[in-house]
Amino acid sequence: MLSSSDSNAELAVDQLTDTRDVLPTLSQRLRDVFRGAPKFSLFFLAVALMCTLFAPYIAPYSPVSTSPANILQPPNLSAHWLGTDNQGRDILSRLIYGAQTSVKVGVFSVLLAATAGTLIGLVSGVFGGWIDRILMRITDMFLALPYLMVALTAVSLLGASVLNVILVIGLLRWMGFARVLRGEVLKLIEMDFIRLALVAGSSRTRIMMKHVFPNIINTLLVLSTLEIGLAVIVESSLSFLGLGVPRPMPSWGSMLRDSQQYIYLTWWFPVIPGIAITLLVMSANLTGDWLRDRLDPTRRQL
Amino acid sequence: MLYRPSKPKSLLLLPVIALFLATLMFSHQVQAQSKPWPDAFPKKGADGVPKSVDKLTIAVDSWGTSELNPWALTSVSFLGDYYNLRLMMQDPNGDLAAAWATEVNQTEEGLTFKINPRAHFQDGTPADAEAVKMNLEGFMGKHVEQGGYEAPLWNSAKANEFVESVKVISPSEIFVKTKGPKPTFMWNLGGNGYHLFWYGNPTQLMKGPQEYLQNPAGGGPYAIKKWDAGNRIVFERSEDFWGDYPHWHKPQAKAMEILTVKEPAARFALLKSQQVDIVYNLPWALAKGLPRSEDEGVRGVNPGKGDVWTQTYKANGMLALTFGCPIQIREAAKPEGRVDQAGVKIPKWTVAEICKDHPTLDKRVRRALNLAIDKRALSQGPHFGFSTPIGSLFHAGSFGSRPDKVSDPSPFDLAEAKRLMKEAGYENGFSMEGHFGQFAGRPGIPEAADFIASSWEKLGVKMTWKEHDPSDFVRGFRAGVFSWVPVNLQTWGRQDHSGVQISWYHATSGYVGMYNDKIEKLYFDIIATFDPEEMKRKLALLEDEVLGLEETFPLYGMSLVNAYTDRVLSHPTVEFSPHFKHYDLVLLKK
Amino acid sequence: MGRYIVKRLIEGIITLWLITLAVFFILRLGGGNPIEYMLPPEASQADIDKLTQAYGFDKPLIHQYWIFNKKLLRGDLGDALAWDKRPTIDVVWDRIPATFQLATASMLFAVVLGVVIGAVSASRPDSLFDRVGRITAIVGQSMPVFWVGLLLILLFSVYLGWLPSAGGIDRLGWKGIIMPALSLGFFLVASHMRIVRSTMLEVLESDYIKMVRAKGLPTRMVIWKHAFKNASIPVFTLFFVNFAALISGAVVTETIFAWPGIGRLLVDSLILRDYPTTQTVIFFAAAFIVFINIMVDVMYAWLDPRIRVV
Repeated sequence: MLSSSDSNAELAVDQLTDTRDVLPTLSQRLRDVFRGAPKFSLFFLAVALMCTLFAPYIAPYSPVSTSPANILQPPNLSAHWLGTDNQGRDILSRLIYGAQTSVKVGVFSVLLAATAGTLIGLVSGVFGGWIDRILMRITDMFLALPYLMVALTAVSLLGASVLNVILVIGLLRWMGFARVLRGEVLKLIEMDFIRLALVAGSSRTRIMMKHVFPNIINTLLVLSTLEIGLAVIVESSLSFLGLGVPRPMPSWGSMLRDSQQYIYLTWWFPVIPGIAITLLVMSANLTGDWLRDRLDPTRRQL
Repeated sequence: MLYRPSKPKSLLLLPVIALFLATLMFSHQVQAQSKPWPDAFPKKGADGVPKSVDKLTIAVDSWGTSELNPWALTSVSFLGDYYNLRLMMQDPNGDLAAAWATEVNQTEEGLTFKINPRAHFQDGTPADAEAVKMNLEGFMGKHVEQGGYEAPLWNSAKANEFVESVKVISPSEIFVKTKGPKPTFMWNLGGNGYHLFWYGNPTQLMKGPQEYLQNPAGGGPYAIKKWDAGNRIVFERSEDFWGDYPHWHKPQAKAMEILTVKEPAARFALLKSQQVDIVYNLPWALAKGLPRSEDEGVRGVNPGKGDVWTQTYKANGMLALTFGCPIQIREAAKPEGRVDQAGVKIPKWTVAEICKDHPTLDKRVRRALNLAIDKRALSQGPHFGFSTPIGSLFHAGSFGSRPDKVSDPSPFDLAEAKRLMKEAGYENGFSMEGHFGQFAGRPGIPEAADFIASSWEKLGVKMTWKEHDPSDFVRGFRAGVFSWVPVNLQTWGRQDHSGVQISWYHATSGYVGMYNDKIEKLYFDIIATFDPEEMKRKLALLEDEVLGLEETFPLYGMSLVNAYTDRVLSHPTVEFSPHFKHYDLVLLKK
Repeated sequence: MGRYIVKRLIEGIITLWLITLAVFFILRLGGGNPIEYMLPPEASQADIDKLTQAYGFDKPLIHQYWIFNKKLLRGDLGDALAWDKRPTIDVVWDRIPATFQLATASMLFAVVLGVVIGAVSASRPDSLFDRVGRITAIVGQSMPVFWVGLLLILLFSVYLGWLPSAGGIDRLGWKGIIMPALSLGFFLVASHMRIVRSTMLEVLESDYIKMVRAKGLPTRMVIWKHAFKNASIPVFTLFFVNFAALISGAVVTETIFAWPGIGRLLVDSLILRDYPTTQTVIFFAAAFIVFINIMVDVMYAWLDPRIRVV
């Protein structure tokens, strides 16, 4: 079968089918995935995650140990890079530990909201009819709630703790997910492959899980990232109003709350924790924007 | 009064006279420093001080509840000082002084008050003995339903505990029969110092709560012009105010406005920009750099050293560390059916799950935890020198407190603390949740919580402090409920009379359960003891017993700073005081 | 059109009623008897029981909710437990003007600044101004409202000593609203700016404009007017939607600046455990949001008749 000309062909075929030339390398793949990514934002998000997981190893000082001799020290390169607070505690260390609260609340409350919202959006869109109408009526009601006021009320009554804040924020932010995803679902179910599945006898539930859901993941991802920023802001607002983690553990919002009394005496105490919040929210928002551009339906799926 | 010999009889008298004069002057000087009011203070209408100015503006963090009706208060409301009456009051030296009543005589049967015959309410109706009677009965809850009031007053229990009946003897004389000897009556009900009862216009009060709001005309130096509940109140001087005492008379300021501004930096900003003349409760960190009238001259008089000056209430409250588990266990073991001093049934105590086997049940652990707190460092550091470590349950300068006990806090000994923990078997520490609440006019509590958490970290005790709203926190101390276990930070507003304070430790009221049987007996004895010296002696005994249980540990007494702009000439007020007082005596430059 | 308005109004009322249901039960979340907060700690159980009965707090929750609804139909939202026990509607109504003034001033600031920056950015895309503007917008949207307030106090009260930082218009005049309005409106500048910019860019690069330009006819003014008109619709919608969000955000601003509005009333009432007042505040805020949404929907329906059929 193979002659000498075949060996050329072989060579040619070999060259064509050399996996290293045709399929992308891992680094090429990674570069592709992260094309145009906001580098600083992703970096900061990674830093925040590190702080959350490894705070005791990263923080230079204990976040709890007071030092009456070192009260309200300005930032200095020798001992305290970001200065000390009104108890002489290192602000950098408290910032690192405080990241735990912001990240935990940001991630888990959005997880909760996304789960609830996706479920409602899916069911609403796929099943339609009176189920849809009732669910949308409930969505409208939640949308009309002044969410910060309700969050404040609920956390105040339930008691301030990270878990309660996660629950409350999660249960007040699912509506955006539900609405947008329902819209996506409505568009999807007009498509042929769904109709075919229906005709073939698949149950609605099955269609929902197997065909619809995988196609809304992109939107879900984008929405989630954008919502994280808002969750962090709401959490810090609640902490600022006194409904945050119990003392002496820090959260960025409660640090700002404590700093108010000293606003005439220091600039770093009321400014630095706010910068941390802003950077985290900004990073989440920019990442969300990038994801939205990247995962545009007119391009390919992730 | 100078002693002048009528005839220059003999030169021998001269040195005697000189000595005598010297002694007089010396003692007068001593008096001037400790009791400078009214002598060392400017006077209205003299030396260029205007008789009347347009407005005085004050920013406070809170004035108590935002309610005007003295029969419908859910808690204290100090605005009442300015438009309503008190039976008697404190003058700026802290002495009992005349108000509605000009004098009081107390026996074991009761008290006789002589009412000022000139007293009248702002709508012209006379404020006579009959009006006093109606008020007292109102406090006791006797007019609740007929007046359209839903519930008895927040401190009706107190009124009913003390008052048996009220009898009008003449329009200017009234006899209050007490339920047995009540030596602490004036501090509990009279309004002296820790004012708790404000007397209003019965005609208006009997119209019912909604009607009263339409015209809350009282009998005080000010009338209410504008009321924005929870935010601000504007008072207008009552031009025919009947009071003409040195300590209580027509104020200089025609209008007085009081604002509530919770954020301390905002209060200071208002002061610096001269939007307000006085700030009540300036944060310690900010007060530190400002000129104090106490240091520069006469306490309460503008020292003229800058555009802002301060005056400090020295001991307007205190903080104590209390371990609730031993209290719960002791109280739960007591028989059911007990009543407290007001005759109110004491509910059955339960023991929280967490207390059943808690490390703090061991006295050594409690002692160790106390020893680990360096109270001086707390006061000098995060409290900027404005709190004082104390060793007494009673407030500095109060009746029944012993100065040497007050100024002798428990020591700081970390080594001994560690040894005790090890001996008790907790070398590696344990985790614990504590509770506290913040109260207006009592700064420094969150800082103390953080400081304590840091101190205990060194013993391996991992602390989290839960903060509660004030109303929640107070209610959590109710007998049988006592939620704040295993440890809490009890805060006290100042009590001028320790005999009053000890009843708060009892039974159904707040901060309960300090007493074992022996101490309880002592307590009931004290509140019926008429002789002041005897009472003081017994109070000391009680205090020693309570402190000996090592369940509650006094930490510090806090001070409160009033700050003034340069426009304010003087504000004579009591050195030891819990609340903003005598704003009607403030004198302004223009 | 009329039918559409009526339909939306009915839906709005149902939504509001559902909200009262939700809020009523949320407020019972913590358990506890609100009566205990009205009486002193040493009140006897008898006193507590008596008052609990008088207020009906001993009845089962469903029954209490039924009574609440009956009163609601009469326009009675209950009496406050604090605040001199006045009707909650009166208590809240007294505070609404201050919040409204604050929200309006914030919105004004946000719209004016946002539109100006957005328009200028759109006219000079990718210039330095544009890039700085966009970065500021992104940062602004990421800053929590209360922190902006703190920074403003730091700058204007502490360092410059220009502006007072507490009170309300009654006392301070219009000077007093500057800082609160700036801090509350700041994050909205960003969203307005971005919408204006992107919409105007879209229009400026659209085929219609290209064609019109090619014909050489219009002046810059005409182009701009056209672009502006198109951009104003989404801004308009955003305006209303954000206005509703402002009511919610006013809570922190009013707290920092001691502003006598309903946000601060909510915080104070919660501390006092005054449930009826808390309920009424949320109800008013929600009613306002619902009203705004209806207005926006009606406006769109008026502009685009197809929507009315949906």
